[in-house]
Formats: sequence, C-alpha cells, structure tokens
Amino acid sequence: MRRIAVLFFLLLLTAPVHAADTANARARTLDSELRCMTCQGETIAESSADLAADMRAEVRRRIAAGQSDDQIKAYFVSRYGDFILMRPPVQGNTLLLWLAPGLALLAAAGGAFFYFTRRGKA
Amino acid sequence: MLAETGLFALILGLIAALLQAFVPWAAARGGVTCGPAFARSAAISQCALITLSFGMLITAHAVNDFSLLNVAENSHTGKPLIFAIAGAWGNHEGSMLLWGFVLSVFGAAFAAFERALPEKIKTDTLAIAGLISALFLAYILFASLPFARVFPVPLNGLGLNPLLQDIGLALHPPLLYIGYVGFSVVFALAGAALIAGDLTKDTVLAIRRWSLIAWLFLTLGIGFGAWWSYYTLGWGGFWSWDPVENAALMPWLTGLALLHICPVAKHGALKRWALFLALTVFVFSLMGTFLVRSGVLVSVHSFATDPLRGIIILGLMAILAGGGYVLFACRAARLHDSAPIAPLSREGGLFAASLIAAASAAIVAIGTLYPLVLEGMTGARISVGAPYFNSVFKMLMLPVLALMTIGPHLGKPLKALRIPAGIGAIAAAAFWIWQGDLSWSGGIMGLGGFSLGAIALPGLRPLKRQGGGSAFAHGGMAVMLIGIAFVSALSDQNVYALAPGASVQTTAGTLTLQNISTVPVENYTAERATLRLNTGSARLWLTPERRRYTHPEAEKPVPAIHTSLTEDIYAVLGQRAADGSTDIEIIRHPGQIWIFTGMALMALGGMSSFRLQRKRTQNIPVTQTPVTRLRRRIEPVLPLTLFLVLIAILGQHFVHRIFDPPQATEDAMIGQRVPDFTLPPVADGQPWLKSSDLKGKVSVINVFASWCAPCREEAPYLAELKSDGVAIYGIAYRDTQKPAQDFLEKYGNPYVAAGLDDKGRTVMDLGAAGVPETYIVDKDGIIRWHYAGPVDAATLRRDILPRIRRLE
Repeated sequence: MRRIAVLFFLLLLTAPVHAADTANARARTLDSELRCMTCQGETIAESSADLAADMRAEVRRRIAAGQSDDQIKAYFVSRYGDFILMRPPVQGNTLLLWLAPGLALLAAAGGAFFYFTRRGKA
Repeated sequence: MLAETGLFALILGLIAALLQAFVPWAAARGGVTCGPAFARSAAISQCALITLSFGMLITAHAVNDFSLLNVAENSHTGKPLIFAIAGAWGNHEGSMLLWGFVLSVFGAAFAAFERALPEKIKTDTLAIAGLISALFLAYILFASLPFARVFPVPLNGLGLNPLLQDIGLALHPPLLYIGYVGFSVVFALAGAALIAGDLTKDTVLAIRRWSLIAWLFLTLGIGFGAWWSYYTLGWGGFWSWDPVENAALMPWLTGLALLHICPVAKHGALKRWALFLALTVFVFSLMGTFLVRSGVLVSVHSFATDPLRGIIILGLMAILAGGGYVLFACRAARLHDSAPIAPLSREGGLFAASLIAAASAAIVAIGTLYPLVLEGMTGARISVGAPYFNSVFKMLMLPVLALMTIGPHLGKPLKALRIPAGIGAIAAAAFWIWQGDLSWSGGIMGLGGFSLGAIALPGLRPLKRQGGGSAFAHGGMAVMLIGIAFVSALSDQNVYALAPGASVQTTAGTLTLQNISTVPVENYTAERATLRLNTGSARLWLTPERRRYTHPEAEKPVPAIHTSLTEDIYAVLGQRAADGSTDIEIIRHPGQIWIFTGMALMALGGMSSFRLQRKRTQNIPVTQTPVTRLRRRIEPVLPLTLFLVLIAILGQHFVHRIFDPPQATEDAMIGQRVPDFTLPPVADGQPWLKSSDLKGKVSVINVFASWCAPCREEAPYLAELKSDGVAIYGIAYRDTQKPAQDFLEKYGNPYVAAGLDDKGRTVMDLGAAGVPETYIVDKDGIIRWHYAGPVDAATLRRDILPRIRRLE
C-alpha cells in the first residue's frame, strides 16, 4: 500500500508546473460567468455565436483598460440586466436562493437531530 | 402500413394498460382470484404491443418512409442507418414513445421476474404501473402521435440536427430514459407498500433492486452525456449545470439517497423516509421529462418547444405525484418503525449519507426552478448557472468525501482509519507544496487520498460483508472528484492564430499547423487541420475539424483530443481570419480521464452491488416505538404540501405563458440614455452616424445585418414606418459596406442614416442580443422601448406607432 501511496505522490510531482497568465485567467473566469444572450443556454466561454465572440473581445478590452472584474460585470448588467450573470448577484430577490443550500443542509441536520432525540427518549 | 400497425398496436397497448390498472382492483373487490395472473398477462401483452408500435416507428425511420410526418421532419436519405434509427427518438413524439416503450418493458420485467414478493404487493405494483403506462400512452395517442401522415409525400426529409448525429448522443436518451422510467417501478412499489400499510423487508429489497437498476442506467446516461459534451461541443467542459442536465441529476441524487436508506429500512427503521424518497425519485424523473420536453427552460438541449404539451405533462406529473403523496398522507401514519438506529453506527452513517444526498437534490431543484419562479412572480430574470452550483457543490463535496470514508467505519474502532488519514494529509501537503496554495483542490486531494487509502488498504475493505459494490462506487466518487480538482486547479486554455506551416510555442510544447484540407464525408464536408505538437518527450498529431452538414444546413466543430493518464490535450479548430491565419484553441485538462474513470467506477459499483445484494442479513425483531402526535399529523402531509406549492408555482408560470406570451420582461436598457456612438456610413460620401443625430426628436434605432434572414421579413414594415414620417436610424451589425449597400438596395432603405458596427461594440452598448432589434428613443435621447426580433404588422400597429405618437 505504501508503495501505491508513493507512486501517487510521484505522479503528483511529475506533472508539469505552469504559471497562470493572470489577465488571461481573469478573462477566462469572466467568460464563464457571462451568459451568451443569443444562445441563452451557454456562457460566452462555451458559445461560438458572433455576439459571444464580441463579448469576449469586450471583456479583454476592458481588462486591458484596467477595469476590475466587478466593473466589467456591472457594464454588462447595465446593458443586459441580471440575466447575463450566471452567478446571480446577492440581492433581495436572490437571498432565498443563496440561503437555500444552507437551509437544505440545516433541514437535513434538523431531521436527523429530531429523529435521534425522539428515539433517545422513546 | 407501418404507421397503421404502429397506431393500432399503440391503441391496443393503451387498452392493455387500462386493464392492467383496473381489472386486478375490480377482481379483488368482486372476490375473484384471477387478479394477479391477469395483471401479469396484461403487463406482458402491453409490453409486446408497445414494442411492436415502437418497432414500427424505428422501421419507418430506417426505411425513410417520408409519408410519416415524423420521419419527414427528422430524417433524410443521406443519413447513415444508425442515425436514421436514432432519429426515431431524436424528436418529441418519438422520444415520448420511447418513454412509453421503456415503461412497458419495466412493467413486463417486473411481472415476469419479480418473485420474492407477496402476491398482493406485486399485483398492486402492477396496477399502479399500469396506471402510469395508461396515462403516458394516452398522452402519446392524443397529444403527441408519431404516426401522423403527411400528404403529399415529400421526396426527402428535413434531416436530423447534426449535433444529434453522434453515437454518444444517440445512446444518451435511451440510457437516461431507462433510468428515469425504471424509477416508475420503485414508485409503484412504494405505492403498493402504502396501500398495504407496511414496508416489509421483502418490499425494501425489491425497492432497492429496482432502484439500483434505474440508478445504474441513469449513471451511465449522465456519464455518456458528460462524455458527449466533452468530446463534441468543443469547449472542453463536460458538465455545464444546464437545467436539462440538472433535471437528470435530481433523480440521480434522490436515487442515491434511497439506495443509502434501503439497508436501514430493511431492518425496519426510517420506513417513512424511505417511502418518501421512493415516491420522490420518480416525481423528479417526471419533472426531468417535463422540464426537458416542455421547453420551459430555454436551453441548448431543448429541441422541442410546445407550451400546451408542457401543461399536459405537468398535469400527468400532478396526477401521479399528487396521487402518490395523497396516499402517503393517508397511510404513512400507519407505518411503525422498529428498532431505532444509533447515530454513531453504520446505519447512522447511511442515514446521514441519505440526508446529504437528498439535501443536494433539493439544492439542485431549488437552483433550477428558482429563476422560473422568480420570473413568474416578479418578472425579474436571473440566471442560475455553473458558477452558482460550482461554488455550492465544491463546498458540499468536502464533507461528503469525509462522510463517505468515515461512514462505513462508524461503530467500529476508528483506529483503522489512521493510516488512510496519514495518506490524505501527505497528499494535501504535497499538493500544497506543489501548487503553493491549499485551496479547494488541495482539500479534495487530501480527502480523496484519505478515501482511496481507506478503500484500498488491505484488511480495511470497508464493506467486506457487502461485497465491495459500495467500495467501488465510493472509490469512483473519490477518483472523479480528484480528477475535477486537478482540472479546476491546473487546466489552461489558449487561442493561437496560425497560418499553414507556422509554429508557435504553447504551454504544452511547440505547436505547428501542418495544413488544412477539405474532406467530403458521407453526410457532411469536413475542414480538417493537421496539427503537430512537440511536447519535448513526444510528438502528437491532432486533427480537429469543422464539419458542414447539408441536411439541414449546419456547422459544428469537432475537437481533437489526445488523452493520457496525466492530461488531456484538446484542440479546437476556429474560424479562418481575413489574413489567412486560423484560430487554433489548445486546452489542457490534467486529470480529465480520471473524471470519466470515476464515473465508470460508480456505475461498476452499482453493478456489483446488484449481483451481490441477494445475500441475506438477519432480521431485527420489530419493536414499535412511540411517535408523538404532532409528528404523526405533520410528517405524512409534508410532502403533499410541498408538492402542491411546487405545482402551483410551475402551473401559474405555464398558464401565464400560454395566455400572455412573454415579450417585455425586465429590460435593462429602457430608461437609459442612448449610448454614444460614431459609426462609419454604409454608403460612401455620407456623413458618419452619430448618437447626437438623434437629439431633439422621437426616433427609432434599428439594428440589422445583410446576412440576417428575419431582417428581410421586417423590411416592408420598416418602410411603412418611414412613410409615416418616423426617423429610423440603421446600425448594421458585423457588416461591411458592399453587402450592406446591396441589402438596402434590394429590400429598400428605410433609414434616415445608417452606420456600420463591424466590431459589434455599439450593438453591445445598446444591449442588443442579436439581429434584428428595434428601439424607440424619445426627444431627450432616452430609450423608451426595446424589441428583439423582426417587426411585423402587429408590432408596428400595437407597439411602435402608438408609443411614438404618445412621445411626440
């Protein structure tokens, strides 16, 4: 077993190391957070539509101009609305959505707690 | 003849299903004993008839019988046989018949092979299965008939969407449907158990058996789908949290929750929870069908859009799920749990796993349905996409991995986990040293190492007594997550513009574009690039393609992928630029193969669990435990209440859509000032088009393009608008002088002035998503109205002219 573990680490260590090109990486991340408005189901990272290509170019132009990610997203929201953000903004009408995972897990934990405490008394 | 035979077989199949549903019940009431035997025969004859019907549809597609509307619309003579056959279920009507076919096969399989159950449970299960079949077959017969004729008979068909002409996708729907529909048996068993008023060990084992089959196929279906999108869609991803993918994930996760609770329910604990999950897993399957087939979610996967059908499927879902939950509400209080389980035991761990899986299903359901509900209630449109689900599930996967590893050891000395924990710590540390940060990927490496160590170390095989199925499945999950961690931490993606013969240094090595050739193939023409990648240690050849299909006309890129144990190198052929160079995208995905290996291991785990699950464990004697009155009242009706709320929300959204088709949902541009622009004129010698031209009068901006077909349709209406004295300004999107001028000469020039937006920046500033789009701007330069799509007579008279008059 130890041998397998050792092999596992060797595998880890031999994989090539590469430095992330930050501007490129930022652009990629933004691409995957913006919806392609023509195709509706895809992000601009995935889409081959013209508008997606224009939007990718715009993202890069704005990064080069020194804008922050938030500024770039704000620009697109001002044109296309919240719909363009694949990660919905945390605001009044999405509060429940953002709380949902916590609430679901809390409900699960509550269910288990309820079950075990009742059983304990019974 | 084919169609008529298919139609008659379908009608007879519906009759058989109705008999299967109601005769056993009537027989039992009338004191006749032949009910069970009758239900079995009815299920088997129903299956034979639907098989015949589906066989006729497949034959019609295979022989290209274009007198059938379904064939004419979806097939073409120039299509290979395998895709001609797959075309039978590549459309709404055919896929619904496939649904009905699989349903009848499961019913017949249950009738023929399920032996270990009391006759009463078996007969009730078959009756419920018959009812489900009858509802679906009636839907096919009355609202989605694939056997409609067309006259005159066309000489050739319209063809199948080229994205669907792929072996991965030809197999994907049948596998997924076997999974979805398999849960109908589980639902019917749960219904039968509720009617009987108890969940016996035999029934739990049957539920486990059938859910395992369904879950296995669902796993394979999802896996094939992921693999298909990875190697065909050309963006390097395998899962995009698209609503349609989520629709398959919900029953998968619920099925997982059910599979984990079965070994506990077998001993008589948590019966209600098990039955609730058994009902819900099929409700989610129905919801998946509803979401995909109704087109309610605008999505790349929705090839069918029909709100009326959506309502009918929603109605079917309401009848079945509502019926199941009403039964639950009436009967669940009768179910008494026997021996309680301890929190820190193997059973406690399984309960926790089941709860987390169910909570995950709920999270996916909420994330998928939230935008629908919000839009239905407030008109606000939001997207819940991959970034949301990724952040939530990434966090969730850490405790899941830990629980998955520790759970099977609960109740035993945890000392045994010391060495695996050490392995995990070293793995995390190694990743930290290597990558410099201990982010999510590092955590997954650590916990994944822990998990794999615990499974692989001799003497520690966690579920020896269970035969290793779960060890495989858990190992698969760990391997998949490690793969995802590698991809998310280390993948990189770059686009290089290369002329034939040119080389460039990439992160993967030296990339050379040898040549680009055009190759005609059976049903498409391929533009194929030959790339050489010299990585230093190896020389790889990659041949990405762009395929042009003729029936129907479409284009799709086909990436070339080089797979190895450590990383995938993925090449996509982009568009050729004006200077003769071509965009080549190189994506590197370290550990990609492990993701698919993990999925395969999970399916393998499911398979070996099935083989070994006949082993018996001793029964724990039933001792009733008291339940508080409050719980007895609330618990049974909780599912029904939640479900009614869900149906009400979905239903109102749909009714809303039918009577009031969505047009003006929230629009960010309305009320904003027209963005500044200065655009070169379409015709030489004209002044440039400036945003300041619009000042001081009510005007209309129209975004068009010479290459846009709908723009031709709207030309006469724009001309009418011009003759009413309205100043229209044209912006040609991604166009050049010559074609734009030709367009205006041919279809008429309604514009006061028109400018070229070749880079699409002004169009983006205007918040336009495509062509054509039209805006009304008031005297102060504020956008007052925005419309996407071609202007027609109705839009002109109802929306545009009155608004302009009011503003003037």
